[in-house]
Amino acid sequence: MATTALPQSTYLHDDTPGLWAWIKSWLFTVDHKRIAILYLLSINFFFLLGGLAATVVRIELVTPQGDLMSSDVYNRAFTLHGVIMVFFFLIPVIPSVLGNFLVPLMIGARDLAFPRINLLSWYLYMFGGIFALSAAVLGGVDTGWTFYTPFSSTYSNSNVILTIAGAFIMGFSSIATGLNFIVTIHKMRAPGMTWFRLPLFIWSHYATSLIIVLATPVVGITLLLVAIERIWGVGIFDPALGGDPVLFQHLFWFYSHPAVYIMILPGFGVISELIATFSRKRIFGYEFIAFSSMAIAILGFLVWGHHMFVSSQSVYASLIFSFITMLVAIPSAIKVFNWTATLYKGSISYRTPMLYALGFIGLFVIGGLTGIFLGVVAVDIHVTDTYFVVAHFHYVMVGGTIMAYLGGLHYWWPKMTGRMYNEVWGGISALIVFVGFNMTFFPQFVLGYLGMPRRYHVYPEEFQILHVLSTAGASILAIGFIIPIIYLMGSLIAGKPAGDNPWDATGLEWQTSSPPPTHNFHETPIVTTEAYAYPPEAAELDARSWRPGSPL
Amino acid sequence: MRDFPLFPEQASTFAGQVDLLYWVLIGLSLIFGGVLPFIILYLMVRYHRSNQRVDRTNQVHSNLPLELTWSIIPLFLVMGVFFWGAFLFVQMRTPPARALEVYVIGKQWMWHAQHPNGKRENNELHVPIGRQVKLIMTSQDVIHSFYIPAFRVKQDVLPGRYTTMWFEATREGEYHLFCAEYCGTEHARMGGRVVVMSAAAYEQWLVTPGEVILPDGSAGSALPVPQPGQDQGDPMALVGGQLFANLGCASCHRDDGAGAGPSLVNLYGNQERLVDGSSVLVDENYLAESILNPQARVVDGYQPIMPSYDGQLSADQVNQLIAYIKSLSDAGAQAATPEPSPQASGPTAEGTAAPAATAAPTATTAPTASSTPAAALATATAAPAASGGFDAALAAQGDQVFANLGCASCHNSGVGPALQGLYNSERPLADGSTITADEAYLIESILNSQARVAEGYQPIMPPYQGQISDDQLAQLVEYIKSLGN
Repeated sequence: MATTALPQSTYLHDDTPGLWAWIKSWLFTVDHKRIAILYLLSINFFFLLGGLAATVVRIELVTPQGDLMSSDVYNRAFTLHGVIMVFFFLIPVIPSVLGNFLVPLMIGARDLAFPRINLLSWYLYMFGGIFALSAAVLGGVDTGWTFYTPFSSTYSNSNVILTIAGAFIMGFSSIATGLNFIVTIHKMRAPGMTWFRLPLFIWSHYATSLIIVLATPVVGITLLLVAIERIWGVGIFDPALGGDPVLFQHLFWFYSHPAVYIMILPGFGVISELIATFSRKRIFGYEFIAFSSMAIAILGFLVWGHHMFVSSQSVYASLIFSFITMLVAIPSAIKVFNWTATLYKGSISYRTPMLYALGFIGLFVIGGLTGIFLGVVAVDIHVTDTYFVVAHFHYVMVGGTIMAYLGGLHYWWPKMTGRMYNEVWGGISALIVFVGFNMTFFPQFVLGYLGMPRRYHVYPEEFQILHVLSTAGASILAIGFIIPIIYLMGSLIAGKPAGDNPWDATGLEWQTSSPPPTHNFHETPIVTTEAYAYPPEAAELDARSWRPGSPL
Repeated sequence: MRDFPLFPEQASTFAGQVDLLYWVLIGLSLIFGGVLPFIILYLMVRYHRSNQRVDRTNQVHSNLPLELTWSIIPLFLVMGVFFWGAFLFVQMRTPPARALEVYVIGKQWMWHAQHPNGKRENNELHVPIGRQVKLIMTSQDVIHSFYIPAFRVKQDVLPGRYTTMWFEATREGEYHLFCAEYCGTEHARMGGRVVVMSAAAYEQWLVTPGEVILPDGSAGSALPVPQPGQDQGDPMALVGGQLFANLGCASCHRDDGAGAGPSLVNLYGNQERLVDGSSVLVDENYLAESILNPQARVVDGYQPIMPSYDGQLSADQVNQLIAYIKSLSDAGAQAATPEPSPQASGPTAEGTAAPAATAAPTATTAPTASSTPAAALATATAAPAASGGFDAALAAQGDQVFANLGCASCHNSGVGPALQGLYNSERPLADGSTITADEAYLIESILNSQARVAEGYQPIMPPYQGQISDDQLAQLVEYIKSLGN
């Protein structure tokens, strides 16, 4: 950390003068790192929009009467929240931002295998986003993000087609990214970078990419079928036209359950990196963590029916889906236990990324365990389509994916920008997010078991106290999300230059300069060690060199 | 705690069982989710970099026995809860044979229920305590979900098919009824209450008249309002039987199996062989499909000739027909007959309040009716009236007979020849000859319908020899003559 100034020749630097040239150098870039920055800005913009919709929802729920807005406004608000958060934030966020930036760096490649397809994927994402947003601006859509038929295909008179078109186009953006990752990881690893020397971040992105490429086309076709039925009245899902409404649910969840793993698996990868770095030792059970990612990816394709236990699906189908759902608990548990075991005999520091990682484990445990409740069919009958489900998937999505994203963003921020963020504010905001999150979503488990259904803006009075508690927690959570935006932006001007390897971490991305040069490495790295090759005495040395005043 | 509950009321036999499993899951979760965070906290503090006194040598990076231990123990635990949940689920999904059957229709944004005696209600469900109640549910538009939190039961209600759900209430009181599947604008207001009553109060409630709005928007009065103290029988099935007669279903679906359609006696609950060689369990779904889309799955040995009743019948009427067809079968009749009601002795001919005295032969074939009045009708005395024009009074009666026998279902739908302008016209026959459709031919075509079939039609019309009286025959002939020549 002896560096006092940023390196001169980086991917952020331009030779050509002039504003137009500068804009062009970003909008037509094929550099994976610049595309990651484009994604970072656009995805965070969508996150704020989705958060705004959530704010509207939570404010309405303070009172049981439905007095602040009409039913239609509320229905549009929660649909907008769901559509944006799922399709335009949670699915792309970690692969497209962190993955885009880091996959080539971590495996010692110059770029992704198909740089132009990578740029195309960002444009597809933006086009999809514009479609979805125009649907919102032109009057909104009220189907919920699940687009259940025949409501979406026949009965809803909102902008279903525009929204579906947005999600459909966005799907191709995902496919392009997934395909790029698969080919890159197969073909562009640096000399010596064998499969079992890959960082776990790469393993989890590999598993994620497989799911993306195999599952996304199904939802694309399904949404297309909804549009066909809606526009031309072709009977596919609406029984009045000879269709089958449950068929839609099968097709939709065949993608949308694996999509949950598209959201959470990259988060697992981030957490594995953070835990190893801030314990200063090799991750415990590398192979078990790597294979558990693959196991989750495969099993994730076989459990879609657990969303449909009360849909009129056959009893036998439900039992089989329930059984396989139980099996998913095992690889998830393996990961949590291995992360915990990594802490043992480490030298743990409470830097911001580590706080997010530890918070992630706690929240993911709750999210995962309540997933077992929902997988047990007899209990699911009572709690499905209630706030219990809402709380469960927010624990996994927000408590999992967003915590991992924020942790990863702080961890690699010095690499992306060359500057350090403010550690004090980082720690404070991580704690605020953790407290605010639990206060928002834990009461919803209680609400759900009491029987409060989802997607209600009018509810019986006895539920009000828990709803008020939840909304209060959401305000705290919102503050926790706004603080990082401020200090991270501030760090771009005032942040200390980070140096190549501020965390003293292993991994090829830390061997190049911060920010990296356009072609990542001045010479192709040759890999001779496994990932997380901390020397046995690393933890001991780190603790011994700690003095009062050093970072905690 | 009434204003701020943390745990839902238990009001069905399932509630305690589901809650027990739930508490066991919470207990198991606490072993992991409650203890693990403290282990993490302990490790976080003990191995913090500022603590230089702990031993950090001899680190372990993998340990197969440990990995297997923390894989296999959770596996056994989740398998345990899986099987527990699975057995309970199968029980919750298997309706008992002798349950009180209530038909439920979901519609944006209301619930409509109809009890076995025909009593209807909207956005409320009254059920007796201690009785197994089975709901037979369908939707008129989008997917809804019938959810009673206090009973721990929920089932999606779909358009175009029937789903069922059952429960047994254990505590009197009023409970929330919600729609749990998002169904559009007023989804949050689609609900009401479930009222659990004592058996006596329920019996009393059943016979208290109440005005309701039907799902199709009309004010409901298709059923005679039951009066206290009267013999009620099973009006749901009775009205279905009446509808069955009015639509003329009996002209093909004859009890003796000799009709153009299969006999419906003892049909419900049994397997039927289809023309494609597969077989189907005759349940509510198959019955509804066969009424609304009869050509979809045709019973082996029959032609796909039944006209579709889609759009002709309200969802309520389909339910009534199903209740009637179920009452014809041992399995269905057993289920439909409430056990404790002593007066359920079966319907009588008077109870049907048929529109005309000329009820169709099978109109009153209700569950326990042993013989049909139709048998008494079969006599042969008078000869057909022979006159040039037609007798208007007889023709009007013939119109009624024509409707009651359901002739229109074929003769107005193209399955059988149209009768307008038939009388005294020259008609080609299937064998290539021609004939003048005089009275003699009309009579022959009714009584011995397969003798001389018009060209382009199948010999599928059932013979009415012995099924109708000579008076009725004369009335029919006059009616056909009135259709022009």
